[in-house]
Amino acid sequence: MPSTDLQSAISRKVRESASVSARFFEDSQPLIERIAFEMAARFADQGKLFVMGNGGSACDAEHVAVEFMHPIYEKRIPLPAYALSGNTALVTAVANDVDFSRVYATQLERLAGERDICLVLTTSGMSANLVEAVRQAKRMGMMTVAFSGKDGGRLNDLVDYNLVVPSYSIHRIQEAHVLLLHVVWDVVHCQMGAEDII
Amino acid sequence: MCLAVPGIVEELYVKDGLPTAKVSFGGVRRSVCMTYTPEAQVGDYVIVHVGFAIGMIDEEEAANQLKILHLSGQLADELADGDNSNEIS
Amino acid sequence: MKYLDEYRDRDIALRLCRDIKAIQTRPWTIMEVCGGQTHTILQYGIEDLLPPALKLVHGPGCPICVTPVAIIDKAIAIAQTENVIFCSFGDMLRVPGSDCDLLDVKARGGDVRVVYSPLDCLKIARDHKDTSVVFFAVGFETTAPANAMAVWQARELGLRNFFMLTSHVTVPPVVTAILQAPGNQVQAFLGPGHVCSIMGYQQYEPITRNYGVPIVISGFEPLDLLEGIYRCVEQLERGKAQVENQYLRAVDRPGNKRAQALLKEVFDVVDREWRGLGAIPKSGYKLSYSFRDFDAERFFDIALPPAREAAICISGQILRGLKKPSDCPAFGTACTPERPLGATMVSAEGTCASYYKFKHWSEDHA
Repeated sequence: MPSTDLQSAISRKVRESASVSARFFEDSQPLIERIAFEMAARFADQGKLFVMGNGGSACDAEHVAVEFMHPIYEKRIPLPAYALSGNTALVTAVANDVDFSRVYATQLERLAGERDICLVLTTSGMSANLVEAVRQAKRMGMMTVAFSGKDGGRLNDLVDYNLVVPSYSIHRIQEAHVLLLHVVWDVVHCQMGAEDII
Repeated sequence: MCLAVPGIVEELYVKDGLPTAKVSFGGVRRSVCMTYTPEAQVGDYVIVHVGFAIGMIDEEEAANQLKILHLSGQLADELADGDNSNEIS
Repeated sequence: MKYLDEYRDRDIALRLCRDIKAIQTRPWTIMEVCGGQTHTILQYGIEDLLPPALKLVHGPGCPICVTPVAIIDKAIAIAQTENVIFCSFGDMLRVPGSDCDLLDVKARGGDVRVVYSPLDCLKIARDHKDTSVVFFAVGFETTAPANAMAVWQARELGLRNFFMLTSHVTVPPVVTAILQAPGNQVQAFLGPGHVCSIMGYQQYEPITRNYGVPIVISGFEPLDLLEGIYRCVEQLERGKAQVENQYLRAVDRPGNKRAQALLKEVFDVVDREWRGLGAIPKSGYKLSYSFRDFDAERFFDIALPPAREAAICISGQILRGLKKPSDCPAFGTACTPERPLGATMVSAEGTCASYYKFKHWSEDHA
């Protein structure tokens, strides 16, 4: 492909990504505000955040956890957050001996309580291990939130709050999720009384 | 259940830490929580629902509206063509 | 009484009717949302004054009427629990549950009390520290701020024996549900005046845009309703679809910001079941996480058999404006305000109760 065509393809993809995100955030502001409101209330009540996903979404889950645990800005307090995809030994043990669909639900069962937050990241909304995790979380009285895409998948009927990026491209959805996790972290702190300086 | 009645604020005080007022509804007096109408003064009219003032009556708007209402019927007068179509039976 | 009597002037009412008749060229169907508005329309015989080509349809704006039987059953179960003082607004006491009503529970010795304001419950809770005091929080957005304040105060006062059984519903989603229902005939709405005193009327603007229906926020006195109807007809005749505010003395576009802020703190918006209408998404309130300790459903975790309703009751269709009480075989015979079969007959603002009181013994102008 001639280089000018590639360059314009790059510009096009970047523009598409920006426009998907812009549209998503335009429609989602009240929902994000409300999610951050409840998350802040739970953190204030000694609640913890449990976050999970598969593949690229597993990476994004770990990104969420580190934002909360190790804030980029020293005036913001660290908050307890665990990415359940990170414990390779446990995930492979459960997947090997029980079923891959149980890898997150069993961790929640043993580690989480009713004050806590379950956040799942997905592009399809169909992953069995996330559906199982959310069902477990609901049974335990946890707050359940999803960052998803396409049409929201099976999570629409399961989670308390479903932030659905309106795109069918996995990359565009994930790009919006990364911006979203930064925004959510930021707004949670604002809801907890921090200054809006970022 | 959205029945709310206009009344006049006669007295303002604090009860259990909440701004409260004695409001008169045509002579019947009730204690009303004023937490949602902090700007109300004695002599103002408030709308009261289940013991709470939910808003103030905008007396200027009310006066304007009544003026307009008193002008009603003029449109019908203008459009009438004398064939009894406007008679109310 | 000032700000009431002036809006009941008969001469002006008749003049407004003439104006309506003068501009109307086609048949129109208008729905008034609020039960209080329905009550006034029937009490003053407004339908009879309007041209026959203008049809008024009565909406589901009676929170007592739309509280699901399952929640009434829960209220009854809680009221029957030992060591509970159950508090409620008066008109909830005779709403039939699956087997009986709260008044029956009271008659059988349950401590069921009528309160005027939700704050009255807090005094009861302080005076009876060893008893659980439960308040039946029913209502639209007009009542929600009062109920929110009760819970807020309970937390401020450190009360551990006060609980709320919440059955709150909101108006914009049900207006949308009515417009989306197959066979809908409603072309314009008289919007809920006091709900908008609290919430403002911005929420209705997307509805007018998306469905092309005029919505005129109206008060509750005869002249308010007639002026609201006039403005609806005027918009319909001109092909406009906008939110207009007739109730200018009590409503502005932003609404009561303090009340809205407290509602955001105390309540989460959730999906709710409406009696007679089914589940409507994001149409109700439940206590938010920080106030969960006051949630009666959480504290009194009672398993109940499935709720049952009188099969003959057509409340659902009446609430949607598809049928009138006179269409019901039980109206005035098996079902009266003294022995109601369904909620629309119990509540003073229910369509059936209003019909019974004001129209039952006169000719039905069909």
